[in-house]
Amino acid sequence: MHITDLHIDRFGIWRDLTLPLSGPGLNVLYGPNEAGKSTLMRFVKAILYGGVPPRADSGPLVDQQSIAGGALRLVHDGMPYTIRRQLTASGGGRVQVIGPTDAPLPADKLDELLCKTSETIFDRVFAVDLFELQELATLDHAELAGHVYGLSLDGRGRRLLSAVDSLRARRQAMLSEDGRSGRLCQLLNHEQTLLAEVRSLADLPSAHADLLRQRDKIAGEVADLKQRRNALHDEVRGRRFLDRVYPTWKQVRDYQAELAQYGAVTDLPADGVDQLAALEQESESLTARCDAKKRQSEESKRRADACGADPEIVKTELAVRAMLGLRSWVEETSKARQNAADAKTKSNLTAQKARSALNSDPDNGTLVGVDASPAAQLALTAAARTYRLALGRRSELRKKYRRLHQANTKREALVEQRLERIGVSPDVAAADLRRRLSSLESLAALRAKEAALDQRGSGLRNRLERLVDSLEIPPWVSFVLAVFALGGAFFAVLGFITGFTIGVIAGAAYLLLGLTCGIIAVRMRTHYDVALTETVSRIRDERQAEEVELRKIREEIARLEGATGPAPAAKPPVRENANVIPLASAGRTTAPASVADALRDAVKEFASLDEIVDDQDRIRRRRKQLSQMRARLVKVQQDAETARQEWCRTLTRVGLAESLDIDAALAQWQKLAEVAAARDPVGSAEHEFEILDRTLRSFGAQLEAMGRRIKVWSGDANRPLDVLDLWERELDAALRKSAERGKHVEEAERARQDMRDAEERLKDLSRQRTALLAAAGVTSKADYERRLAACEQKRSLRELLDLAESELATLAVSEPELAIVEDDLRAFRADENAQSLGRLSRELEMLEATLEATCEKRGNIARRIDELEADDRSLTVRRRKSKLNATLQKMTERYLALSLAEQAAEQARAAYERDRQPPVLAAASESLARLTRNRYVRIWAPLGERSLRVDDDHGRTFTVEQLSGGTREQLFLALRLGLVRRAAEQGVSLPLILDDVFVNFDQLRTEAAFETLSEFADEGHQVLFFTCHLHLAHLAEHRGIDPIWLPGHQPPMQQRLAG
Amino acid sequence: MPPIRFLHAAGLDPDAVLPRLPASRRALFDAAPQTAIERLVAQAIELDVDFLLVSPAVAQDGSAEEPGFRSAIAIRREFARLSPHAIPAFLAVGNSNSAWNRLVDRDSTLTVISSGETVSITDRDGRSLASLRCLGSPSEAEWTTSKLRHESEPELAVAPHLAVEQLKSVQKSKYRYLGCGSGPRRSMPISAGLAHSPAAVQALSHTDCGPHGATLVTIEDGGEVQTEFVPIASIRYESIAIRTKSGEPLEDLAIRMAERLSEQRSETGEQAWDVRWAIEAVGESFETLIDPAQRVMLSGLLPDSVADVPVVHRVTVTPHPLWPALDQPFAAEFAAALVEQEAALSDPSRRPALLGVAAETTHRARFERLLAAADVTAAVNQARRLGIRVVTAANERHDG
Repeated sequence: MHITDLHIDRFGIWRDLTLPLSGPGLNVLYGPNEAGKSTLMRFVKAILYGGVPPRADSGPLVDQQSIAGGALRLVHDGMPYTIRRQLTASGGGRVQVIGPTDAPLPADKLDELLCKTSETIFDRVFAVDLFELQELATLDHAELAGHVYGLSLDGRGRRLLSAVDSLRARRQAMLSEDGRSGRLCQLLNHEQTLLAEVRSLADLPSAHADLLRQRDKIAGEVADLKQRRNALHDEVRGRRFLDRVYPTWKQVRDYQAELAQYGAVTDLPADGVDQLAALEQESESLTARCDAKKRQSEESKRRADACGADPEIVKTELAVRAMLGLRSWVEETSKARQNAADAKTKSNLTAQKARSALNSDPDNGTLVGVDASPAAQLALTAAARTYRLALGRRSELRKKYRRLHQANTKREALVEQRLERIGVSPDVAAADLRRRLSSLESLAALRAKEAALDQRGSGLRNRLERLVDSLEIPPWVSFVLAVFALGGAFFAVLGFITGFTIGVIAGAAYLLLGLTCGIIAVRMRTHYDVALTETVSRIRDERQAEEVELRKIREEIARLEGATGPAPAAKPPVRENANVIPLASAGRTTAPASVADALRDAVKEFASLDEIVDDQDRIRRRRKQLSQMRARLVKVQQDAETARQEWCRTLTRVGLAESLDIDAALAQWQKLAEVAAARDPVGSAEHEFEILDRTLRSFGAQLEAMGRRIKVWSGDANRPLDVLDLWERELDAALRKSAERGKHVEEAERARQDMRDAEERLKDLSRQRTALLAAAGVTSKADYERRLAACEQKRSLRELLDLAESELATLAVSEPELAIVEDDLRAFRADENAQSLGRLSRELEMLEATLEATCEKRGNIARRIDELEADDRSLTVRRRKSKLNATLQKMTERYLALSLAEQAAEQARAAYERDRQPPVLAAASESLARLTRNRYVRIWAPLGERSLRVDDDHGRTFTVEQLSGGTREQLFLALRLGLVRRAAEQGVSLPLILDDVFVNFDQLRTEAAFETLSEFADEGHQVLFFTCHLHLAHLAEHRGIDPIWLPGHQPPMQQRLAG
Repeated sequence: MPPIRFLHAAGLDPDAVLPRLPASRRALFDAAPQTAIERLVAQAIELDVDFLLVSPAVAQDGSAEEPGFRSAIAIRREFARLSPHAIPAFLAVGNSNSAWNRLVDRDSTLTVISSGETVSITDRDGRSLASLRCLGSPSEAEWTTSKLRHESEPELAVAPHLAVEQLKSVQKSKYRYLGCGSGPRRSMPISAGLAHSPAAVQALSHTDCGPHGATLVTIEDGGEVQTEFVPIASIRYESIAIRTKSGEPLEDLAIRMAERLSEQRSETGEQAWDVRWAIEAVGESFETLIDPAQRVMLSGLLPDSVADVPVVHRVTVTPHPLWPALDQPFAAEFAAALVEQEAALSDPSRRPALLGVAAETTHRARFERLLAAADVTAAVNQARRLGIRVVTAANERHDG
């Protein structure tokens, strides 16, 4: 909607005023102060929205019912409308909307025309004076704030804001911004408390150390006291010991003195008298016994003599009994001799049988020479095996040598044949072949190059032919051109002839056209001919160059073919015309294949040469191998000879004749061994019989000799058993008689022996008595009895001394640490000792009391030390401090994390703000930049706040309050412009009415503002700009905008011109 | 010159509190630092070393942290066990020795040495073995200057505050063995011998993974230095990163994790493993594993032990760096911002300024230290998880 003119019946100072406007665009209305500019703005608002009209300056109101009124003519959606309103003093009034057909429309049409824009919005956005412009609060209306501050945040924005706030709250809960409250602060306070506790416990170690020192000191004192006490105890004990020891010691000394009086009196046995009596009694009985035994001996001797002497057989009893003991041997030997005779007979029969089994009847010497023992068999078998192995190795090596030698000879013959075919040495042939291969490879490359040049020449020729063909202009073109020319000439002539002007003209035209086309065709042909000729010339030059190169290649091919043998393919014909490239001949296409065949053949030859060389190497190696085999064969031959000699020696050793037939020799040995084995029993049986027979005869001779010596021989020596029976009987009878005589002799001897024993005993008793008396130093029994009484008394004294000494030793043992000192005992005085003991006891009692007190003191200190050491307050506090420290570390990290997260979220929020600013602010930012000449480039609203921020061209951000007054007004103006633009985008098109809002702008920004408004109006917005500043009106004029001079305020012409 | 054989240990921190896990293992974890000291002394006795060299724990500010009262008593008790075996022990504490000196008993073989001090080490027969010097910082002049009594003796030094990485400027040091008390287990040849850090005898968190213990150092007749690892720690930390594909079943993932775990070899004396799994997940797998119940289920599928050593599993989920897809609204901006922030935060000194810590903050200094010590990677991972929620929530279809 835009207003086309205002008609004021009566409003404020205005009466019957019709003020036409220029429609969309900038309308500058000039009038000085009190000219009624603001009244006009209020008039527009009053017509659109009603309201209380201002008082007229001309006097009191006349008509209370209708004090003001007027109409606005406007265009909406291209249709003219008129809004007429009569205003009353009470604020009421009647409004009438007249449509394009001059018919009144319903009242709600006005809402449609106003796009349902409320009066408040209109007042704060569309109709703004300086006062409203300066007030930010005018934009706080809910509907406007939504546009300006983006209050209609989406869920994401709200949640982001909420998250940031939550993070901040949590961080501040840990530590407030001023650092005086929060969980961390509480923990730090608690730490301080703990530190104070730690400090309060700092005295514990020093107290403990003091107590330890005291304890050590008292321990020293106790040790000294104990040492003193022990010394006293020792002294008391020593004195008491002396007291106990002295009586015993004195008794010992007395006994020793008494014993000394007896001098050298020797001790006598107590039963000495009894012994003397017993000796005398025993002497008498022994004398009587000697006499009885003498008589008995004489009687027995007499009876033995009556029995006579022993015969000879008894004297040789042992020899006879030895002979009798051989009875069983004689029996067995006789049996063995009989068995040997039987075996001899049997072996003779067996030997006869074995000998008959041999083909030849060997003599006894041969059989005896054969060694049939297992050792001989083992040696013979081993020698045979060794000899066989040696022969086998020699045979195998010989076969192998012959086989290899034959193969090598055959291979040598083949190599010789191949070398004869080649005629030269393989190295020379290989060198030739390499050269040939190289030439063939070069030839193949040249062939390929030749074929490529041929192909390229063919291509150039085809191209040349196509170019030549393209030179020709198609015949139809010439035909058409000729038709045109001829037609033209015909019509021209016909025109001249008929005088028909048009025909002449047409004919001339045709003629001209035909001539023109012909000339063009000729010129074009000439032009293309020149270009084509150049191209053809260039192609021909290329062809010539290639032809030269081709010729060289062919000469090289010919040279190589001459070098490598006959040409594999026919040479291509050479044309005389050098400008024409010859086509590739059919024969040439086969050339590369022939070269390939030649190459293949050469390679085959090369491989054949390699084979020859390989064969030669192989032959050399085989010769070397054969040489080695010969050496091995010689060694194997020597081994075989050694084995043969050993075999022959073994045969000789076992008693066989030398033979190289191993199997025959082994078989012969086997048979001879069997015969020898059959002969052995015969010899042994004969030998055994002879031995046994000789033995028995020798025994018979011995029997005979002995029988004659003992005079008991009456038998045959060849019957030893009968002789032995006789000897046994004779010996028994003689022995019985000899035994009786021996009995009597023995009795006599026993009696003599008893008599000698009694005599010896008597002598012994006499010596004992003499010794007993001599020991006592007396010669009679009475003296002996006197001396014995003195000895008894000395013994009694000694026993008493021993008892006393034992008692003294017991006392010494009871006090092992104390020694019995003779000097001390000699100087001992019992009364003095008793006095010392009393003194020491008193001193000990005092010392014990002191020690007890000191120990008690030490116990107290130890108890206090234990109490201190059991005091776990320090440990508890330290552990609490350590735990608190860990908690503090964690909380600090948490605080750090919250701070980081908050700052990061803030940045995310900033990015969101940047991306999610309301369109109004974006548009306003653009306007502000223009209004401030890019001094301030961006307007934005923090997310979720009803405040604005302005960024300058250096990126600094300012709040509204931080801006200067003029800049702030420019900001608000920019916001209005943005709002109006936003409204226009939403279909709300209302005129923007500004009442002298540039008052506080400086010159530059005023001009910038004017430009901005002008551009804004050019976008299709209607702007009614009221101003009281003439220069602004002139500025508008200067920019091609005719200001509307309010009635009565036409400016002077000069001023206008000057502006 | 006789060969020298000694045990070098570091990171003695009996007051340390290991991150606790299930109640059944709590006592084990609580006792681990103390157990490490007991085992260290036992190993020194068993190996019959010439001496024991120990660097105590090093605090973040570079000073040797003083032991607590109870721990000091425990240390003294344990080191007293060395006396009957006549094994001297040297506690190199650097610049702070007031508390450590209290550990020295009247009959103890323990010697506390501070920066700049040199002590002579003798064998049981009183023959001089070596001289040991305690160094404070690399800038000290004694790095290349021998001030020892006998030039023929091997020169040993210990720098309780330094890690091997900090020794690059002193490679020309004349010491045969230069023991470091800080940093991970590492060796570096120097001109005359070897610089070595044995690492802490007991790891305290997952930032210090792998087997831990002491080092048996042998200096041969010819001056050749050999080191041998001696396992000490009872608790072992392992951190294993594994990547899962979208939609991979938990069972398959558990099998792959078990295979990865089986690649590890347990050391003697280890009583429990604390394994942290950093699963880099994407898509559906991330959505599954972000649920604690699913992580518990996954932990249940993993093996309870490795070579008879019980294992405690901690499963953490890290989103894939390129997930959610950068073409989602806000995701690219978020990811770019995180990358920018992570790079900026790599310098610990700049963190307070970047985070805008208020100058008047009551605990500003402490908070700045905490920020400097913070694990930026872990924080970025957390931030990424938060970001995923933000991005996912912002891009959800609005039901209302």
